Amino acid sequence: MVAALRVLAALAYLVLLAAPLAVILYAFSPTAAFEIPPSGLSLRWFAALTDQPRLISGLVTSLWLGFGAAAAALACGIPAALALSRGSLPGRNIVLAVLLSPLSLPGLVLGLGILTTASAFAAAGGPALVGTFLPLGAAHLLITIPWVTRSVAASLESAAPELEEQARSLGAGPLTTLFLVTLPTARPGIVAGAVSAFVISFGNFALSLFLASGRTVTLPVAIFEAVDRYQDPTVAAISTVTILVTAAAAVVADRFAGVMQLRGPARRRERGRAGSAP
Amino acid sequence: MGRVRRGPGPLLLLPALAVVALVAAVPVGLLVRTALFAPGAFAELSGETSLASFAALFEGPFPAVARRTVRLALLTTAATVVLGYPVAVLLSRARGGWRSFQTLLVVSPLLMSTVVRAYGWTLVLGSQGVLGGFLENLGLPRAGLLHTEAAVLLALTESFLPFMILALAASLDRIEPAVIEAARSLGASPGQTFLRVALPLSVPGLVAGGSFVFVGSLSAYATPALLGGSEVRTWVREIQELVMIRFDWPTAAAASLALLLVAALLLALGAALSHRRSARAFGQ
Amino acid sequence: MTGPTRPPRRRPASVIAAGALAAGAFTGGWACGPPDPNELVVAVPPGRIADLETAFAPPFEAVHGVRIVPVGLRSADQAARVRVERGNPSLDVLWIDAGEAALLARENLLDPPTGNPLGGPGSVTLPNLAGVERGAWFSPGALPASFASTIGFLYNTDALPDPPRSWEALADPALANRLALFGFGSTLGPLTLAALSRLASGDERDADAGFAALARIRPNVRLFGASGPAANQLVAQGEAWLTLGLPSQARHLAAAGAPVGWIEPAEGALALPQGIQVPAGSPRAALAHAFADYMFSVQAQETAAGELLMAPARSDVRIPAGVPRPEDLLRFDMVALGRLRAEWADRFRAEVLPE
Repeated sequence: MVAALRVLAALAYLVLLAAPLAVILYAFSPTAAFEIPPSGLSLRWFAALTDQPRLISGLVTSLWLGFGAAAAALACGIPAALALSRGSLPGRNIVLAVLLSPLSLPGLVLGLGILTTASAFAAAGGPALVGTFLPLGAAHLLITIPWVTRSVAASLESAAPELEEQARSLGAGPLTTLFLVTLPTARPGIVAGAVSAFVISFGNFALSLFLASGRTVTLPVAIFEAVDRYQDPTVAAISTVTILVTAAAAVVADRFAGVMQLRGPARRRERGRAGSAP
Repeated sequence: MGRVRRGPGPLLLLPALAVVALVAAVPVGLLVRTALFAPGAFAELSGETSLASFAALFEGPFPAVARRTVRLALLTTAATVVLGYPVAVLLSRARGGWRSFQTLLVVSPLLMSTVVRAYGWTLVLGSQGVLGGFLENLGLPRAGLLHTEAAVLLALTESFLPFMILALAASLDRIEPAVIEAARSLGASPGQTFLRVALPLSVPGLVAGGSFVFVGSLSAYATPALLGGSEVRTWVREIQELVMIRFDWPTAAAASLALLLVAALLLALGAALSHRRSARAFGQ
Repeated sequence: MTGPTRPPRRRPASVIAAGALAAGAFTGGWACGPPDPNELVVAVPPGRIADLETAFAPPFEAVHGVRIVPVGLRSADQAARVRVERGNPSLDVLWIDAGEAALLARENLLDPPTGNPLGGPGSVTLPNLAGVERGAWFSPGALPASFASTIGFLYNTDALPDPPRSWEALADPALANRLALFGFGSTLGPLTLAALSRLASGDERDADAGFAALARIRPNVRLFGASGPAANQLVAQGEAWLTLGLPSQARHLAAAGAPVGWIEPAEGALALPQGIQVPAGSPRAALAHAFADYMFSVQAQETAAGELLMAPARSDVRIPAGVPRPEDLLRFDMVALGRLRAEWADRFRAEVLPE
């Protein structure tokens, strides 16, 4: 059984990493031709990135947008998940479907819809919103909230509510229970939701395209522009740099805050004991 | 679990619902209004009202496209469950730095733009790429998978596998090792332990991950467009063509609303299933 | 129950507080700042941003003391945005394909110039239009095409050391499943059909002839794509052997070491007329019109021909060797093509790509 598990997991990693590895290999290719095995290694496409300020500024914009969207989505999504999974909320499943279904709107449709709204707002005498970060940020928030809400709700559903009841019966107030019992319990879901929200925002192209202005060029848009001009490994190089930068940021964050560990080893043992106590 | 516990109240839903109302409600309202015009190029300018745009979804190539899209989405969901569960189990058992590394490895493909990853797949699946070279080394003729449904399925699976793994790992992580140990000490085999204990407890994660994967692959555009060639037409490619090429915005709006409806129904179903299963699991 | 409560103390609270703060900053902080009157927002095909920034923007910026802000959007996406923002555009100037511009002009979404030889009312007078050739005008209600890029055969030199030299040769069985052509998701789809119609019957509107010619080529077509860059990549990799593309992109790929070449077919390369249009209701209309006028000046037209290798709209500029002359290109009635597009798209779908 464990062997079968390992084989499937290896297959999963093959599916996950085949395409990105091919792109990374291509980034080091000496020419624009993709060769297996490579005829040599070259850094010329990385050097060429210095001529591509839009790619670099796009990466910075996307990182900020992604972090901002993830943080804002946590602020909106965690309370929603609490309301949905603790206590009996009438129409709970419908509310969950309403929160999640905007995900099924194609970026083109949602982008044009938000553009229409902002345009009508401006025509009615409001300030011109298109070209600012507001519609773009709001759109990214809309598509990231569901990931946080759903992940946190799932985590809360998987956790035994008895733990909270015990805390309450031991005299803890509602807020104390929330911060010291409920949220730590939902930590795996919070982390999964935050990571999902970040990558969803970071990778979104269609919305950014329709709500883009000169000031809001995100990385996917800048990549689209670069590919449209010349089809050489420059784009593979910026993608490689992106992964390295983001991985470095994640490692640093992990060192200081343990964000990538869905649950830290020390606490796991403690909760294991706590879980077996009752 | 039969008694009603007092919840933190629906007020907590306010921020999330406000965002949906402010950002999505108006576009969806516009969709409804647009869909009610008679279909055809620039028809929304004529102002003629009809339900014909919805009827247009049941004729021509659209039903076949819708069936293919739903099939692709279901297959993608199934593939991510089968491939994602083992990774999630290994991930939830890992500790410390090793765990961080695995999480990073799982998420890293998503840091690459969809367009770039699609290009990576053409390098891997092309007859002149990795797959073709591999076949040639085996003494077989060079062949590739580009521009087939299989290529789209593979790339969609790749795109959504990380989300399934994250959702499952978060859910599996909530299962106390003590529960598994208890089941084992009561004489359950590893298989029984998995089927009777771990699997039911991971249902919320499975449903959460499945919802995302299904809805996401249902409404995917770039991957099918870049890897599916001209043959693998999907729901959103159809919407894109209606908007951009045929200017038939009423039919495009009707197709978008239909997509929204299918997704909302399945999401509500999943939420109900997940809630009841977890309620039952804890009620026992 | 005291064990598990110790380590996570305060962290979730601070995380939530930081999140709330970020949410506020995220939605509020970026909204500030009205449109800058000294900026001109120019929508431009993504692949042409660098051309705009380096070749055309600096002289205009120096004269007018403004900054040109490019927004990378394909022609169809530009048109969709202008339609949605009907009369209240967030884009001041468009650099857009003539086909899309003709459709926008029909919907009265562009500022119409005076002196249009094709008729129609005009409200904007641009002095430099007097020097523009008649052939550059393509639609009532729209500015003439500032220039035309030339679409020829972009091919893989390893696979095709002796490339097809005519449109007719695309039906050669040796090319089976090796052509990357374009569907109606790309501007090049309708243009290809128009070219085949024209070559078969003499009239680009005679779609029967075009579809018959396309049926002969069909067994050679690997895919009808929507993206030119993706087709170029397929050719560079050797997955496809030939596509329709720009000489500048072929030149760049070859310089980067890919086995790619470009030739002008015997019957002529396709003209892809494009250029500057001003959407109706632009908040910086005067500046937008000044920029449009500048793009028809001898200076800008010589830049287009000399640096971008495009066919210019004026006859009084030097055309460098190797750039096809405007009269050698296959040029089409863009208004007629615009009118026929939806009908052709339906027919293309039914006959060429049946479900």
